[in-house]
Amino acid sequence: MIYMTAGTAGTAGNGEMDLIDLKAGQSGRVKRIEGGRALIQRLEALGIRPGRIVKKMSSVFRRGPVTISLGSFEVALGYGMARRIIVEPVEGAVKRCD
Amino acid sequence: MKRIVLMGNPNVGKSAIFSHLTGARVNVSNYPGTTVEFTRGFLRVPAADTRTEGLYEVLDAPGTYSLNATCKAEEVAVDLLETADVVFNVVDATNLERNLYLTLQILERGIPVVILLNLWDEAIHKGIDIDVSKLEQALGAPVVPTIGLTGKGLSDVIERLMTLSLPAGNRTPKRSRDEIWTEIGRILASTQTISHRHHTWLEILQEASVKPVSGFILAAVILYSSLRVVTFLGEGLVDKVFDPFFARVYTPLIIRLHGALGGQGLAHDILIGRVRNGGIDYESSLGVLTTGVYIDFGVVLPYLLSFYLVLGFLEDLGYLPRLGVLLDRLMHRLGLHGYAILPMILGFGCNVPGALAARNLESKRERFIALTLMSISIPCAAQQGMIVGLVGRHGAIYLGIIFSTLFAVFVVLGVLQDRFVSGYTPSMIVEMPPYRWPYWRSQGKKLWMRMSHFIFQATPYILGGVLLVNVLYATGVVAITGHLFSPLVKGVFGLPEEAVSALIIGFLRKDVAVAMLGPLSLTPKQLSVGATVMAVFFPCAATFTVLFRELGFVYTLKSACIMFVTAVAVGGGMNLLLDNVLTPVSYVVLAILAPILLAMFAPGASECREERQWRVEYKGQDQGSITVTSGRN
Repeated sequence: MIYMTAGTAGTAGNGEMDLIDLKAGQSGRVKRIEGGRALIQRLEALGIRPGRIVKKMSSVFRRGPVTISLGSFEVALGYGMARRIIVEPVEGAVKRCD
Repeated sequence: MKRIVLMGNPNVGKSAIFSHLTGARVNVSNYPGTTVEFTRGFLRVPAADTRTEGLYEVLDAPGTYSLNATCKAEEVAVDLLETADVVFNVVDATNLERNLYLTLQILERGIPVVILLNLWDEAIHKGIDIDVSKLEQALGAPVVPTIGLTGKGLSDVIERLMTLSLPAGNRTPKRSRDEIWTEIGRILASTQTISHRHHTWLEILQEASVKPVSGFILAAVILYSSLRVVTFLGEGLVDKVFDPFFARVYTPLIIRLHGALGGQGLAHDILIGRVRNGGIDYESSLGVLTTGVYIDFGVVLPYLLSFYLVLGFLEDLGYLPRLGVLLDRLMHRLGLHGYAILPMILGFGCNVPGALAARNLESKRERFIALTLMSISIPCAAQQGMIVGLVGRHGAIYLGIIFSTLFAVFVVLGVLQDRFVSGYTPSMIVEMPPYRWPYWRSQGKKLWMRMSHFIFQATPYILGGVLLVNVLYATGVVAITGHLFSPLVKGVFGLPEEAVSALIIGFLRKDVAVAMLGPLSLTPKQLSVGATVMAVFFPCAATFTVLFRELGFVYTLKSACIMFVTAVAVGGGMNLLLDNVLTPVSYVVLAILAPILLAMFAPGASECREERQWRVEYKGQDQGSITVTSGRN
């Protein structure tokens, strides 16, 4: 049986988390994207790809969209999408990553 | 004739550049493409130069982030690229990293490319310094800084176009995506320097717009003031400009015509209609030149003008996508995601561009839900103007009844569709445009385009609609169909049989249809029911055509069935509730609160489906542990 669960089980451990769990104002390095080819390409065309550092700007409540900054522009990702982007939090001030 | 295709990421100023390039000569035609429409214009280069042909065809392609098409719009852009003799790749200078991804992909195609480094002024303002000649060297194609809004730099672009050696782009071997990103990193490191600078107040406002508390406060302020401005301007225009014009200039002309036609006869009745006591009542005379012209210019035009003024401002400011972010949760309950708010808002102007904007939505499921919801519960500005003009005089509460009912229909129908239309709605991925202070000149242009579209495209239909009403009455069609639909119109909706004429005209133009309720001397309650049914019942012919094209026969049929059932249920329900059960005020409160509660507590059907899909696809191996941690632990 597959249950609908609240929260995001399965991403805990070894410092990895999804964009939902990342705190607003915190930056993270993208580790992987849990999605199909189309999604990965779509995010990549926006610059969201493994290795890229993104900064979470805000989120609208718990299951609302997450806004992230990629330095010079911002992208809003729906909850279902934000949950598929696994990052590793980075400490300290983050410079633009090119 | 050579073809130039304007390509670039969404929202980099392609269309601004397009309109500057094609200028006054612009021959904007909408291609009835099967996917996303693009715009075509012509660029005439001074004939003094004989090296190249004088006239170019310029196509404004839909924005795309890459050539790996991942949605309908991008497919069209990629197809257009194949037909291009020259590409003008419009690049956002403030977002070089992301934009170069597309640029490098285009350059691989071996088509001559001129790169327009647009938003150059903004880049300077943001402390971004780009070494243009180095960038040119690195890319192997001409790069020209431009400012799309003012057209600065475009003469240089044309100069470079003339000296463009064909083929400038050499067909470089296709690189992998990783190689492209490495290349971009290299290019940026050698050409771009960014100096630190402080946040502007627009950026602070930008952040506040998507934060939970400040975002909703801002949204309330913006929506409320927009509404106030629209009504204030609309009323002002009617009182100060249009009513005086009709009273002092137009009526004497009509009176004279009335005399010249001898006060009777077929031509007189069609053009001027019924005249009572030598005076002309624009609302009930039903003449083409009286009621027809009055609906068009006296009621709808002023409202449309003020509506599009405000909409244009919000569009150019960059606010609308942020409203989508705030409403994403609600929209998910309706089977859509936040960005679907955009076609809806455009639909408040006119359902046709609204329906076309729904092409931005990823799945057919979403487009079906969005188009059905829009054609049922979003009245266009012309219709709203007529409703406000006709019903508003009986008190704002009756406007409240109409619009709260439409809101309730929107939410309830959305929740139902989310439940019963199979599949799920993917989450949104939307780039947030930076706030930009709207530039008055482009605002004026946009407003004029929309108004002239109404004046030249809609006017014939409005006048024709009034003419048709005359014909329907004269031939007895109204009487016959009135009898035929009497059980529905009279029994269910509580309207007089003649209201059937309004329903028929509703297929043609919604504003005329609502106006047809005017001469029937209805009670305010009947007017509210009639106007609401008119909105819900069926989209106008223009919208219906687009619906058909976008959804195909079967889905349009399904959509039409939903429309009919909804109209009957809503009209009947209103008639029943307002007659005996509820006061107007309690009706409005109920119609607003009940759907909100429904949306909050209804299980998000498609959300569950998406969750399930995700677990099966990517969390398959974790299933056991998930069940343990979430369910039993």
